[in-house]
Amino acid sequence: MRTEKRRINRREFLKQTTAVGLGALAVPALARLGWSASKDRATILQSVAADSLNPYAHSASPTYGIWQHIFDPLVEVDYASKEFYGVLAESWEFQGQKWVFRLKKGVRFHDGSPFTSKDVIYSITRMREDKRSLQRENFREVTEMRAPDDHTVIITTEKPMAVLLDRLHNRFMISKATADKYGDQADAHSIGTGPYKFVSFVRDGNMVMTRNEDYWGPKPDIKEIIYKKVGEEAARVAGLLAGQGDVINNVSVEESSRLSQHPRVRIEKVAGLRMYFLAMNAAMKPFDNKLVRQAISYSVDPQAIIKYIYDGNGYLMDGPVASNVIGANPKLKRYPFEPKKAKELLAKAGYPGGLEVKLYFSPDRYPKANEICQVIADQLLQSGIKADLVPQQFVIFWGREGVNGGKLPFYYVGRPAVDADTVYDQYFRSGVTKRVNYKNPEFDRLIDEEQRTGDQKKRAALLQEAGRILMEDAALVPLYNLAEIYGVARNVIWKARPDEKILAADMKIRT
Amino acid sequence: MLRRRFIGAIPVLLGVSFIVFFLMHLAPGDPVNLLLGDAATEAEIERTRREWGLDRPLVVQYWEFIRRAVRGDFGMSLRYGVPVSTLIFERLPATLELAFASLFVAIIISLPIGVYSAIKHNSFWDHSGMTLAMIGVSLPNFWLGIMLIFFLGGQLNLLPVAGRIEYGIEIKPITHLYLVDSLLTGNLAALWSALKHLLMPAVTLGTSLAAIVTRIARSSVLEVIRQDYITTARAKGLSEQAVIWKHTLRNAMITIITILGLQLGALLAGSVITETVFSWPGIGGLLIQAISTRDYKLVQGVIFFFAIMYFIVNLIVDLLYMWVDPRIRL
Repeated sequence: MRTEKRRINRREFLKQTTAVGLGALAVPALARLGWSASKDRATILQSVAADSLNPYAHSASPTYGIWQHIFDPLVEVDYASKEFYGVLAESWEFQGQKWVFRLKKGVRFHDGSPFTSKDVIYSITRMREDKRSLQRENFREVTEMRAPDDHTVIITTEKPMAVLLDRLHNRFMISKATADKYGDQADAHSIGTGPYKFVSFVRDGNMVMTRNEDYWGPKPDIKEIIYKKVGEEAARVAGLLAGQGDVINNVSVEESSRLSQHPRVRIEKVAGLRMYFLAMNAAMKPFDNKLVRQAISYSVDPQAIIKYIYDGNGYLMDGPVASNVIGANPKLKRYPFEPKKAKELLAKAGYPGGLEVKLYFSPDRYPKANEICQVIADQLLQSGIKADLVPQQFVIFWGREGVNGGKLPFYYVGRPAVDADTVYDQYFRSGVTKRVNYKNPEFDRLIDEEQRTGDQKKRAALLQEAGRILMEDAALVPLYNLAEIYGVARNVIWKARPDEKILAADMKIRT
Repeated sequence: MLRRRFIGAIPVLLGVSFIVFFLMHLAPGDPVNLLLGDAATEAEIERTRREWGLDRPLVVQYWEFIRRAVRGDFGMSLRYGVPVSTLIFERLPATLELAFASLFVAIIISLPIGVYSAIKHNSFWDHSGMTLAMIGVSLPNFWLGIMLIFFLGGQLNLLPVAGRIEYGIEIKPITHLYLVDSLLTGNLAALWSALKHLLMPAVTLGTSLAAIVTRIARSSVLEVIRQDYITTARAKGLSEQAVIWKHTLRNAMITIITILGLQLGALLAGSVITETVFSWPGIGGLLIQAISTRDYKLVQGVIFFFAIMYFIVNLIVDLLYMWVDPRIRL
């Protein structure tokens, strides 16, 4: 009798829980419409987020993209013409050791106060002096800043510094008045001149912004923007498919073909700015020998990697920088894949029996680095070069015992650049870093001169010549830049930018 | 007893801080280079290292850490640039909420199945229960999490794929636990949104936990049910319900509480995989990030905090023993 009663209870229990469960599932299904894109709100699911409200405490392109809604920079890059154009700067003039910037008039901060040269000086000073700032290095040669009037800023540098425009790109202008008013707490009041106003921020959660109705430039179409950090790719894809997000970044090649067949979403692709190459440390044997470096250059065929590992989503580099970079030399040709020639060079260099090298790479930083380096090792073997693969955690790879300590002889690395100067300066100019220890006085001279040349065309020509020298010296083995792949809801009109920034001001939603 | 326990905790905490400090600093890798990224030039690296005091001898750095830690100051996180304690307390509510929710999921799945399997020993129910437990324990968390996201999130759009609450829903913070706060303030919209966000991570974590607890519950009930005092209880004519609830379960509880306590300790230390998969802003993810960027002070602070959590959970478990089993009180 008792057993009987219990059985009924269990059934009853099951029935009831099923009913509750189904009910719980049904209600959000009704609410799902509320999540899909509306004309008023775009939700961007991004793999990285801002770590704090300090607009200078980061140096990653996707994060610059978030800040660029609230703050404006002085200049921005037009990737089609490879030239800088003014955002808050109306015009500029390069006068040897001086840069004179004239600022746009009538620009106001979100609190209504006017944007003036004092704000520019304050912003750059903070970038240089804030202990948390990761942007100090850009202004290492600035000696003085003056504001003769409200709309003119004169920046004096130690020596002529033509690359200042590139250094000013992605440097956002904040309000001095806000800083004076709130002191230490100023970052909590993110006030800029940008197309969107700050609403709220949750660390590693949502960052929300609303349209600046009094924006000085063209008014954006979408009213509200939510940046949500979703680290896991599978979750970003699921979120996009379900309509919980309108744009997602960092879509892998594998997911890209699946997404492109979906009725609700499309794929948006653009050649990215991060260029991958094999770096060789010229201070270490056998890479101090140009013949060995050339032999390695003849032994690598990145086309195979692009085709088989990236399914065609990559762009072969013919010179030390990608073709979409300022200062790229269109006349350069990469070393062809000729293992026979490589063997001859090795024999000439004193290694007739081949070579043994270690190839370092960081799988947690560079996508598919394991597979890629295996292919490279296999290609090198055809020239008689046996490469041992050494995967390292990025924090080790990039640290004092690794790349930046000058301890790695041969490694696979990626570096984003808008202007060839940043790569040439940081990797190949003598004495700046220990990453490759390349030394060539002629190259150094060209970089010195290029950094002093205000005429952008002449400067580009100098960079092109510097690039030619690097290729001739086989200072690196250029590989490819990859496609930046985004998943976008079909009713969102937006074109991807090469610089990994997702800017809602460029976006429209079809209803 | 309490005083003895608290005094005993001091050397443990010191030991933990010492080991963590030196292990982290001796491990290869360098936070400064990583922080500066591509712009890490020689001059800038040196300057940053000096500014953060990383150029000083390790012993001096350790002493500085201890001196501040006793005052509750764990220093600033190198990566986030905010005090370590702020980061921990920002993340703590999310971890607590997920920990208790998964424990709850685990208990409501495992206790009924475990106990029923034991009572119906060797029956069809027993075998199916144990098979379920086997499946539960074999499913890797990341796989289950991604599958749930794929079906319930992406395909059916029933549940949100990431985060703790929908944007636009305001909760008046009291405990910072969204479920509790929304209940306290009677905010049903917030409660519903928080529940939806919590469901998939809690089920993912709770399932593997339930699998373990089911087996433990079954075996400890089995052990108790064969004791003489249970036979006596039946012989003196007690109802089956009374035998199970009053005599069997209560005695079997000691083992179950021990295992639940241990698991809760682990849950409070954050569940890195589940947190990562669901972008759940908890402490586990914070620790992993801190380790992989060698954010020394943050790692020290978080581990120190974990040690305290384990201490508290163990204390609670011991107090629970006393409550469940009066013999321990003697």
